[in-house]
Amino acid sequence: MNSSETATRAPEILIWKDKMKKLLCRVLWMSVLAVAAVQFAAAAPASNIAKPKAPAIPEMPRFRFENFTTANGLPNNHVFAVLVDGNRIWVGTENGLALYENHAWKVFTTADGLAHRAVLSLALDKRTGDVWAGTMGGLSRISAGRIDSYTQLNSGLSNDVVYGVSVEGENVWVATAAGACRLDLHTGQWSLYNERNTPMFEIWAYGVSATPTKVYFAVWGSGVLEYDQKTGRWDRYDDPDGENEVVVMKDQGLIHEIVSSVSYVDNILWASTYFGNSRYDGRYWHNFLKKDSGLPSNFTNQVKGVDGKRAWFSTDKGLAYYDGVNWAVYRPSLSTGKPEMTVRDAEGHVTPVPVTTAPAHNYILGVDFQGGDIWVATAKGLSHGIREK
Amino acid sequence: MKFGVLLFLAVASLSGAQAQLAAPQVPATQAPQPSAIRFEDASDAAGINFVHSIGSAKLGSLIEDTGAGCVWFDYNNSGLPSLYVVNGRPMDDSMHPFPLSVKPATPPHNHLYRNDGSGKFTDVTQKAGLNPDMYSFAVAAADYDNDGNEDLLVTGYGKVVLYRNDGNGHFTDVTEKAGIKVDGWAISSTWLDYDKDGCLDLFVGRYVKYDPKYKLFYAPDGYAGPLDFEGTTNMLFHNNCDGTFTDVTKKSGIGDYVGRTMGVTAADFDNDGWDDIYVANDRTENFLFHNKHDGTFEEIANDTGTAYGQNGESTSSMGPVFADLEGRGVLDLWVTDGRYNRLLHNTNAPALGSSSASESAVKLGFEDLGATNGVSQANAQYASWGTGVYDFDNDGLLDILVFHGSLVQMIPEEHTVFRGLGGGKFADVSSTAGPVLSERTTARGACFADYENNGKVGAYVVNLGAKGTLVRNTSTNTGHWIAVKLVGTKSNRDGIGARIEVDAAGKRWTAERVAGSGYLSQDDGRVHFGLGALSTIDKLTVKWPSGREQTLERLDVDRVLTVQEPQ
Repeated sequence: MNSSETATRAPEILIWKDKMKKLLCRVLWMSVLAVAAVQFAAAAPASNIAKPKAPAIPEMPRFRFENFTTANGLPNNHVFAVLVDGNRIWVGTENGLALYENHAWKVFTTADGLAHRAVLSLALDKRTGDVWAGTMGGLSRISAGRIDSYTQLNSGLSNDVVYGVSVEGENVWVATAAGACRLDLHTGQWSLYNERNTPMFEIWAYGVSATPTKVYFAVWGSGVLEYDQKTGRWDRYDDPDGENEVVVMKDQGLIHEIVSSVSYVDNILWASTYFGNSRYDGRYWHNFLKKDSGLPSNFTNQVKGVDGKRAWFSTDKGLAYYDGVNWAVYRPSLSTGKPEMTVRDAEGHVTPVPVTTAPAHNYILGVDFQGGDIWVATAKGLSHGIREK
Repeated sequence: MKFGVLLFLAVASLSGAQAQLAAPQVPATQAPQPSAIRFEDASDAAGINFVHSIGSAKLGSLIEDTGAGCVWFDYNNSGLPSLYVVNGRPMDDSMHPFPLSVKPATPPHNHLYRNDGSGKFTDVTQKAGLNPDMYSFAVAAADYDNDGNEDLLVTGYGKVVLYRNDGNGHFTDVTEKAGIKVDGWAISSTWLDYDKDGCLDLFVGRYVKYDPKYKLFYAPDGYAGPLDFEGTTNMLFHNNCDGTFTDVTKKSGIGDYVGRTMGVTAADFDNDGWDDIYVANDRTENFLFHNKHDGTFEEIANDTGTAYGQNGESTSSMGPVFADLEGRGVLDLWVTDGRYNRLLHNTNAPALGSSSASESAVKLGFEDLGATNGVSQANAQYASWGTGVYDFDNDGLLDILVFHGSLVQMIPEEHTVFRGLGGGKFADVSSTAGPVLSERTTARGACFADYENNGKVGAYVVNLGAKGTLVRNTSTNTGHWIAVKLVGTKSNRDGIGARIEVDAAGKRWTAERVAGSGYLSQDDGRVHFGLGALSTIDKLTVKWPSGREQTLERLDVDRVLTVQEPQ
């Protein structure tokens, strides 16, 4: 570049600079005005400002529910338990054990060898495919169409009222109305656990969750009982404020002594009670109550952990799902009976989600998973939640 | 408008707006820094293999479930605290619901572990002669005869034993000669000079009038508990300054109160210059015996809010500790118990030496902070026993270490350490403080000491019917510290009851040299202060029980400082 070119272009540069300066000034003025507007808006009375944008609704599982009752194959509408085994759905009802497979129902009764018509609990032996059914009159094993039943008269079963059953390795762990017990499938030996050899203050065992490391029992009125498979040591977790229904301090320990179910997954214990729910990581407890979570009710029949963060809660006022932050509730409306789904975000905002189907009843007794689908045991039928999104 | 001014305005407005918009996202209080507090199990490395015995084949009685305690004391004047741990043992079979079918050839017994330095210990029990024929529960150390050697008082079922330190590594049972006779279940004790005559007096706590024949019907209830037995009185012995003691239980007013004692401690909670006594009772209202300066005490627990638990219940109180938790120059009270524990903020103690300190009109009281600062919530799931309040990371703020273990059914539990944040606030840092605190044990008594003389306070914890744990402090990035060893002349030689104030850079730390502390135990007598980043002490003041006040100025830190009372 020579000097004449410089002299020639200098005014253009000055003009350009001037334009840019004006442009920048305009932008900056606009920024000042915009910021001032934001600040004014923030300081202005609520009535003068536009409503804040509604919080985005968290993405929670949505289902289309297909319901089963006696009208379409169930032996009884009182469904106590449901178990998924691939494409086979086992259903414990008040009048027999039902199997749903290939869109058809098959019902097992006492005539087939079932210990009792009322089936309260179900468990799958994943190694063999055997199904274990806890009934009001004993424990039954369904193996390749054959049913063998164990009672307190013909075996070492603690008591004929079997509220919970869980299979781990070669052991079948059983929760009964008079203590807990374990059947060693290899030796056929029974081991009994009660107030004499465990810290089980009450012997009304209501649920069991067995894993290779720990076995947990839900004990009605006596908290949670833990068995360490490695050390053979028993431990007990109680509500620090005893049997009071008042929670003295949040997250102080197990939420209540009346424990209805336990679910141990990814080293996290989930425990449901009739007065709220608890999550325990081995040192600290986190409790969920209706007043401080998305639970539709504190009265919970079952909790089933998906993993250490997520769980399903079967309450007397609907089915609830917790993803670690947000909650969703699925039920027929308590007032109108119409299908209802609500989502509660971390801030506690509850948003209804339009749905056309719901579980068969709001009194939920249990769930199981089939891929993305869920199967739900209710007081008035079985529900299949077909995952939509 | 100038371009530059406009730019400034825009940026200023924008940043202001950002600050305002961002404000709700800023937490009200900054998250605490990651804790430097860490501990490890050093039992094996130290050569301490103590195993506690419940004396029977299976836990089945209140005696067996009580556990035991320990003391750190420099019995050989080596400058290093040694460890004495007491033990249970098989008694007559009639005392145990599940007696051992085969008794051990050598009964389990108490142990003295001599601190050899470098974290190593040698069992010198036999040489020391410290093996009483007694089911032991607790121990307290003090130089009761002011001869320069630390003596021991061991409490047990049916009696106590006073061991006089012969000064050559051996101890002699002088109980009878000293005139100390305690019947029944002597569970714990503490030393204090309640009349400030320069000789240490002895308070002995008793538990219940135990009847081994009484049993409960329903198995899950376990054994007969404290309320199944009649409570009993504690005892106070006045030191005659000639090697003998006089039972002043009745005269002092101590004997007027029937309780079920567990841990005991004594300190001047109301800053009147006279030591008071706190008694943690099991399922019974606790006692705070206020020293009336005339050889008698008045029981004021109910009036001061220290008698009952947070919900007005008679808790199973275990281990009491007096400490200035908030740096206010007054002693607060921390008490472990079977549920929520109590962190009692001393609400109205006047300044030490102030004119109002001696006025009876001052309304004394405590307020429980545990419910609001999270400490009670964190402990609620446990039964809490041995405990120490120390600045474990020497950041200038007191921390709390609590050992847990279930009642009745010997179910092990993990343990908890709270890092002090100042102002009565604490953070539970247990899960990052090392595996030893997550290792579940059925803990009972615990004693605390900087047994390596490196400024880091560790602990020894007795585990019920199991091997004890030497909890070594391995904290990193710790601050400065000083430990003060007192040598009284006119006052008792240990300086028990002396108040120490440390002033540095406008801050003040206050502590009292106490004897019994926590559950059935006693900590090292050297008083430890964490100083944070401060590397110089401006002034250190000792207010001796004799009334003398001694001041030392411009002191170096990170050392054990011996302070002798002026002649």
